[in-house]
Amino acid sequence: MSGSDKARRHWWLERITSAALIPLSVWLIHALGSQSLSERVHFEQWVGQTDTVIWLSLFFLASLYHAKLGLGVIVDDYVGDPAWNRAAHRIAQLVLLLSLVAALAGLSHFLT
Amino acid sequence: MAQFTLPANAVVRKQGNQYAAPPDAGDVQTFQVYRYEPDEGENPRLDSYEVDLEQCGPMILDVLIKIKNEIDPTLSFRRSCREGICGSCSMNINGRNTLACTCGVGQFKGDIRIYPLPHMPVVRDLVTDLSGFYRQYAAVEPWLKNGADEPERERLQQKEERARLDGLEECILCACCSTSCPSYWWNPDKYLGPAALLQAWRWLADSRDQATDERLEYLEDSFKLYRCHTIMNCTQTCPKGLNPARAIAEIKKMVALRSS
Repeated sequence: MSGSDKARRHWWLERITSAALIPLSVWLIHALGSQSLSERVHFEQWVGQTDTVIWLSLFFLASLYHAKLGLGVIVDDYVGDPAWNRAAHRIAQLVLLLSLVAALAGLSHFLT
Repeated sequence: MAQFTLPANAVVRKQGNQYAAPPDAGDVQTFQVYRYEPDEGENPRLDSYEVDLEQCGPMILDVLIKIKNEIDPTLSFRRSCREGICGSCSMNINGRNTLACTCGVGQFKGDIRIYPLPHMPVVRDLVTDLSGFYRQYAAVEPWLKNGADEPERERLQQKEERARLDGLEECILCACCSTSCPSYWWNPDKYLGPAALLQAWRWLADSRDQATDERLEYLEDSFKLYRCHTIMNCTQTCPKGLNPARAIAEIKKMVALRSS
């Protein structure tokens, strides 16, 4: 992929993930704000539902991918040295990947 | 790594020379002006000038000219048209980039601080080195590119086509916008900055220009164009009331639509 394709793809992905996060965030805030989730047992039942797992997985995917894009921009802005830049990108990606794995593993735990 | 603190030799000494107003002065206002002479090998300092506003014009540029003519002839600054057309007297006045000639003294209360444009190499006092800024302007090739044969008379435009250039061709290249942009501060060598991108859009929006693909190909780069994070300092500070942030957004939209 050429530099210009990469830049354009990055711009599109930023917008797609931020647009996707609007309904997903509204849904999550609405769901977490409902009275029935204030008790642990109700919360576990809610998280264990298949549609909840699907929506939460989409939320985690979109938010963490959006975070990856945003952190990448911050790294490129402030870390000029090529070696440090590469290292900072790798660290940010690793942390976000581990976060995604942990989130999905947590969801699968409730599903079973 | 980005440098978040000033180098030791660039830290401004707060106490510079003091120039008191004459005893018979009426309406006295204090102006703190950034002073730097690289050849002296000393840090920059803030000189304090008390100016009698009753004996001075109403604009900051009037004050600077009065200081240079009557108080301290060593003060250096650029100026030319004194009516917001040439862009020479751009500087940072009380924390905001603007033109000294169109900035009234009366809008401020208390001491007025005058600095050169931020994050630019200082040649002397309020004079900054804008050669990088002009290189970026030249890089967007700000002239008409039309492969057709030379017409016998001017190339005509519809009124609507001409109206698209309103708010673009009024730019006077004062550099207030680019030097107010944090993205430009961190990557002045790679990011083109709001002023150059406004001019790039000026030619992309021109119905007579036929080099759209060529221009977009040059601009489509992670740093040249996409370092703009819509911070909007450029639009907020532009002394001509232009909107470089919108121009940059239009370029990004054009790139996106072209490739979809």
